[in-house]
Amino acid sequence: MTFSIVARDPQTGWLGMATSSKALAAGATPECIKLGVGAIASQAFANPYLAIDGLRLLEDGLPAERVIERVIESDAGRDLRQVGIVDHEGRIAAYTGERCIPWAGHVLGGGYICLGNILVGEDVVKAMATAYERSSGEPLYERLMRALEAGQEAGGDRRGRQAAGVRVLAEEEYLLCDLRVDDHPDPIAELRRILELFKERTAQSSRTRPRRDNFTPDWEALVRRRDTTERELDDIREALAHEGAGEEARA
Amino acid sequence: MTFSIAARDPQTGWLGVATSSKALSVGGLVPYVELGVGAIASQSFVNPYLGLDGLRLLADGMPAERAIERLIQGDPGRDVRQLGIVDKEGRAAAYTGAKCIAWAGHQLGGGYICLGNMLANENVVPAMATAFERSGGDALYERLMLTLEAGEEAGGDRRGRQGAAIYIIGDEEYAVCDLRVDDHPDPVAELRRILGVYVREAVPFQAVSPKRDDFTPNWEMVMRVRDAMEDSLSEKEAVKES
Repeated sequence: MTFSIVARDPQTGWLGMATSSKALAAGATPECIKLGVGAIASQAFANPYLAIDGLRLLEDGLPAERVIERVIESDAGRDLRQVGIVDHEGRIAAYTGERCIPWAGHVLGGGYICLGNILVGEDVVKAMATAYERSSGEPLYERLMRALEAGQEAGGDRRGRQAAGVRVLAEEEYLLCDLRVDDHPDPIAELRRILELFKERTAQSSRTRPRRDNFTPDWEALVRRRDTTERELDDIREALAHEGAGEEARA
Repeated sequence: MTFSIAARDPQTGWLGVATSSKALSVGGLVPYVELGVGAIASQSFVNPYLGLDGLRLLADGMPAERAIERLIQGDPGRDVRQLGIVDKEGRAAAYTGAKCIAWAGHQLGGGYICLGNMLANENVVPAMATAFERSGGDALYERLMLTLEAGEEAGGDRRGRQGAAIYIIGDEEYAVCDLRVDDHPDPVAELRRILGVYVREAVPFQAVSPKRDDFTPNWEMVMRVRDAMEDSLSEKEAVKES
């Protein structure tokens, strides 16, 4: 059904997850990552409440391993669920229900988990882990993207392809990176294309992005950008009006 | 930059936001929605904290109108922000900063608010409101889609097109509908296509979606789907191998 990675970048403390699946809008479920708490992937025949409740338990200070036990205990559908947790200190835990459709399972790494079900084989999650390890030093969104690409390269989902998403929470309470491809014949390649657009945008806006302790950093730069945009739009409108007037004159 | 609607469906109490913009991944920037709390669209030169803090104020019981005042007071960048809020009672309020790029403004209706900035003309927002009003009785996702289509039809964003999204919280703490088009030459039409896929592929499974008070509704059906899926995969792969 799905292959995913959940990770904490040890250098920056950023939290992130990436996923791909033969399921519409598989990159959704924004409620499963929280600043200073952790990130949780809930998949297979997914129960979103395992991620929602899991984050609350993590926030209460329960270690990742105990959180998994507790949420699995609470769910009568546990045999069909798959869950991966990384907390804000990089502690990890994962669970794959025994009736998840093969191949299903997970690989635990230092500060990350690769997990999947209905995959062509175990190689998918192993390839993801290798790609993640090898890209150390790159920004987390790039590392997660490479893990997805490696998973697809290794065969991915037995049922085919449809959707992908990557999400990274950095220093603020809102996501730094939140990119989705909901329904596409080659979702991971499309996600890569969108990630490259994101990199351009984030380079432009990183200094003016609102922070919890300062909603208007580098405000003059933002006002300049606003004024330039307004001028450009007015120029276009004038040019169009002029053209229109010219055509009328000719008519 | 953006045209959006935040709305509460009076029949179901569902809360949603739909948006389109010449901005990458607009669906990740504008909507903030929470069960039993409200729906917020935060846009123009976006401050995501207005959405996050707004939901907290609404959760504390503050009405939409007061929440907007508080949020705007707390943001020195207020002149370039735009906000629309619908609370869980369907009270709506909006704010458009004085330096939002023209055309910029909003229109309040019963249980909804349409708002936009850098729009092609002053007809975009009223066209959206009319489409929402006229579609009463349809599912909320359909009403939000029709609203975006009417906005696009009336001229949409002055700068062009790129992204679109619908986000709806229904009866559960997770979204019942969360669809995105992050970068596409015709994002509203593409979102309409994806909404069709949602209606075909996702809506039929809502009967088995986990609920807060029952994680395994219609479980026998889930197990049947699971077993049928496994059998059909094995058959297909056997055919391929032979």
